[in-house]
Amino acid sequence: MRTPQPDRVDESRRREPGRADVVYVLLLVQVGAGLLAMLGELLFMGGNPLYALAPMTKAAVTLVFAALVVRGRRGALIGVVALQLLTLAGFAVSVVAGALPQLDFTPTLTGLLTGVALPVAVTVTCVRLLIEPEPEPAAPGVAG
Amino acid sequence: MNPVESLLTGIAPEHTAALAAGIVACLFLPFLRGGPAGPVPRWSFVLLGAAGAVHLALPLGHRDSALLTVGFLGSGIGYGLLAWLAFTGRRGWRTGTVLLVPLNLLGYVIVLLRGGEEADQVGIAAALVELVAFGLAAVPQRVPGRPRRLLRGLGSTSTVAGVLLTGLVIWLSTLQAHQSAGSAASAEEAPAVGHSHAGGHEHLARAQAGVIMRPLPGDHHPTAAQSAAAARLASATRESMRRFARLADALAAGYRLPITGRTGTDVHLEHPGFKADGAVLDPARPEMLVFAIEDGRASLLGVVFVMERAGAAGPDPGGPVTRWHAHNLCLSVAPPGIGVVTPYGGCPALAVAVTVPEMMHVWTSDPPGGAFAEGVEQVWARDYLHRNGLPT
Repeated sequence: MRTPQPDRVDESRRREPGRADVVYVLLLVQVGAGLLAMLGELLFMGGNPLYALAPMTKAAVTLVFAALVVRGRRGALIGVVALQLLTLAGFAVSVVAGALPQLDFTPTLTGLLTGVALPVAVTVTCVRLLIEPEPEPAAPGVAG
Repeated sequence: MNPVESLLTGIAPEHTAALAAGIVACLFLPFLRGGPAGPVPRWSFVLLGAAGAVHLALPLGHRDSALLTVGFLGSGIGYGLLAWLAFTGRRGWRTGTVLLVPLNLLGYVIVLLRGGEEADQVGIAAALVELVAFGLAAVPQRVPGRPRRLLRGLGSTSTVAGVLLTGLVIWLSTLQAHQSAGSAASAEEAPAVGHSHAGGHEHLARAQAGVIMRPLPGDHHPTAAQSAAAARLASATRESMRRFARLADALAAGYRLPITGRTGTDVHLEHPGFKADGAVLDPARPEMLVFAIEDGRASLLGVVFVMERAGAAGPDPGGPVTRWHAHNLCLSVAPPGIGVVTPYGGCPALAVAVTVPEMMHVWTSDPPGGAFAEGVEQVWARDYLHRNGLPT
């Protein structure tokens, strides 16, 4: 009777570095979307620069964390997870606020992508990186 | 509207097949055995594959233009080829993606800006997927001892800029479509008619970026009775609002100027009492007044009737002419303020997305789009103010 063999392809995939690079790009997309939202609010609030403070700070913090994530910093991974949980909490507050008589909740396809799918994907990937850090990729000239 | 209804309103019927193809691709491709071991090419393969499936399925719904069909098939095959290159670990998928995604998005925004189609949730979601694939291709993987700072910086900057610019252009195109849809309306036709080729030429603001439209239950041409009812409502409102020709009289009656934007061609004054008086569509008690206020002069342009409960449908005595809409807004906490939900469905930091009760404009100033237009042109409003404005 044949004994099932471990899947070699999946095993090699598990060890291949690059998950941090994926997180980095997903965070860039979040920054771009966040800056767009900031412009919308600035326009609505008569260009008052106070309304740029929180979005710009979040964008800067996200970019710093993104740069540190690809360097394998665990603190940055925890910071990114915290930011994603904040985004997910914001989505949950929107849903709860929709139960009030004066307010409604409008789910949209893109809202579900950027407000749920994207933060969940980033969080899961970061948690996996925290549990199982990636091996350092081989430097140029190193065999392998 | 219930959540499912509003979610479906954002999806243009001609894009349903493309959405289904994209979802199937996203569910199937990640579990395809073999392929690249690295997460970056693996993610790219899935995203490019999904983009390819969406584009290849678009002609199933779009049968209005041979040029568009060729474009969809071409970009679908292109994305499919790039996905295959990423899957098999061959060279070229990064360069190809960096070239194809901007070209494809450029084509999309040109079609939007020229009025070829109205942005919907499927189009915007597909653009977002393509932008993530672009970022994965444009930003080189970090390798110790080989920082490639310039390339990484360029890739990162172009990814952020791509997301920002694409969203901005989509946003502008939707605002333009909404504005011109309103201007095209008349008492004989539903407001916001004449842009989307889907749903009987009904404009539904399917980008759902600031404006949420309720789909019409039937034909967009009103019956004679509906036209008469709409005309009666417009006439009664115009007659009743003569008493607020002066801004001071409106303020004395309890209407309040907004916290910001107290001048301009569309200053909305709210009456807190009328917002919770139980009256609906009462020409004598509109919940908001719209004034043009500039250079020490003010002129009443019209009123806004607002429903008391969010999600509740407003009465439509004029059928498709008396069309209600809602706004999905961003309420920010620090500092307190209001923004608009973006085409990507998001809000700025420390803000939550909410949708306010349905509302309907009734213009008493006889603008080009008629009494029930979605909005009035700024130039026209300014001219009207100069001709009819009274000292504030």
